[in-house]
Amino acid sequence: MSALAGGQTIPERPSLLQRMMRINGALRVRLNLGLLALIILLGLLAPLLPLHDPVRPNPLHRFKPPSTEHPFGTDGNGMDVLSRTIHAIRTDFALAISSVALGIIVGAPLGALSGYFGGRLDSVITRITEVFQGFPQILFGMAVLAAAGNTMVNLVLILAFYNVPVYSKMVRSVTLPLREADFVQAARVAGNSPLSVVFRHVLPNTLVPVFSQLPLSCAYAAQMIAGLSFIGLGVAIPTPEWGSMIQLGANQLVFGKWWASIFPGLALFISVWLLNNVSDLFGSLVVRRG
Amino acid sequence: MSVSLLQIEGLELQFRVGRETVYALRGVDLSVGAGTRTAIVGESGSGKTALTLSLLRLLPPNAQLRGSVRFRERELLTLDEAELRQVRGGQIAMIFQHAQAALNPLLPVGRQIADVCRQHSGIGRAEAWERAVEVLAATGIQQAVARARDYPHQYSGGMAQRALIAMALVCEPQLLIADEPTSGLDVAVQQQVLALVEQVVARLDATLLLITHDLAVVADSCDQIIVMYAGEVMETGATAQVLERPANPYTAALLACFEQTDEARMPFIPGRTPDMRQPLTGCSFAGRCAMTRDICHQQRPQPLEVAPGHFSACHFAQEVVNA
Repeated sequence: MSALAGGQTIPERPSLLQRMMRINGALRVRLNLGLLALIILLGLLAPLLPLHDPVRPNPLHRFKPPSTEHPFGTDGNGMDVLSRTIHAIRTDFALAISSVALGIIVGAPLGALSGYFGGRLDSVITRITEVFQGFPQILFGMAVLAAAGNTMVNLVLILAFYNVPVYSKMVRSVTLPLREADFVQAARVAGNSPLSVVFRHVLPNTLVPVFSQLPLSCAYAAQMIAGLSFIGLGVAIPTPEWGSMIQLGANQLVFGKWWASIFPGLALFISVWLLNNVSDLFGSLVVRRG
Repeated sequence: MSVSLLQIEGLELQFRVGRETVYALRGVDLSVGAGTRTAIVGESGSGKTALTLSLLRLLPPNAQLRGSVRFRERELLTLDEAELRQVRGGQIAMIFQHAQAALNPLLPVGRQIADVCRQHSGIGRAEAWERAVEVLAATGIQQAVARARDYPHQYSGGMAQRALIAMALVCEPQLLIADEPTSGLDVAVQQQVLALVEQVVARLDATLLLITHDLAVVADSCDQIIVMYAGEVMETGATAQVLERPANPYTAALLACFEQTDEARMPFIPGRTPDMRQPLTGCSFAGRCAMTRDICHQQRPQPLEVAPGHFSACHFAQEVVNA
């Protein structure tokens, strides 16, 4: 670097602690995204890792504390907790992501149509989404799973059902000002049909806030999945899933056998926390840019 | 005058805003000859842009449009949506004020031009792309092949305006509407863009409708001029006639603002534009005009032909032109 202009003092080098507190935005995004990617990678590679079979019970090894053989111990069925915690990433993330994706695929076009055309179509779509949001979530989820069958497909559908209004409202609100944007007007002047204006020009431009909301929705969906599974709905044992694992170990917690619940609980906590962080950071990047 | 390409009669545009009605156009009559370069001038809010959007029926749902717009002997106001879409972009193209904002930020520029092309000619994707690169190059964009793949934010203001011109000319329209194409560009680029517009219009043998409030631009690039004020046409005629011998006090006042070179004082027309929420009984300029008499408040002036092809909507047009 070139010499400083005369008379300027060089600020003292901040201490390590100060520097750590001041991790800049880009680095924080990378850190959070990196850890999240690591978790997803771990889930994807789970079958290839040298782990115990996550669904093989062993009645002789029930509630064994952590050891070199079973680093996270074993649960009430004698299954390896480490292996199950890692395999559960697949279940929880797959369910969460697919339910959010389904919610976006249905909700975003609905919101764009409703915002762009306004009028009666808008009223109908808005009312319907409001009715959707009116149902108490967990209660509704329990009722549907109890009535329609306790399957993963139903679980995804219920969670998607809650994401549709979130995304349709969000996209609608971004569409309203876009309706008057110059490039949308230009698209109309060029002779595009209204539907082609909505889907080629308006909708893609509404997706920035959608992407910043996406991780948050995933975090929320993961909690719902774990919550429903914890009360015995949703994903059933033996399929590895954090909520049902926590439930299985919960009764033994008071007897000092903490490992069966704590490890899946930590995994859920860290995943949700990272997803929330990523969503926040995406959001602040978007705001700064806008 | 040449054959009329665009004939507008009694065009009225109103917007319903709550309980009030805004009168945006109050009975516009005008005719644009084929092959002419016609300017529409007037201050902000005079209805220039409202007029062009009315032609293409691109108005918000609270707008009410009455009158007649004939384009190549076809009535546009009763055309159905599908036919109208063929006219939009295909036969009448438009260049916007803010070029960068008029391009979709998420699509490569070449793609957007190719889309317009495919919309109206039904040619294939690859062919449309080649055509897009060709017109981009024709508007003076260097390395058009590479540039076509770039996104709008990678373009400068002047380049974006060129791209927009390329998009407008790709379908070889008969009428090109340019809505303040040079605002927001620096003077040197303004000249280039205007020259390009003129060149394109000449090559396509198209008609140009240039919306502007810059009279210097009008004098340079247009042969006909339409002066608008408060949603009405005040004066029409050949550029030289109107600029040299204005027959309407409003035009005269507007010209005075441009001619005044006294740096210390910003020239202006005293008074305020009429309330657009009221229907007018008299002349729209009566409240600000130095020549106002009783009749100006009572009766709406009809266009008077003060010279061949030179019309002015003023009760005293003859006096003004002779002054």
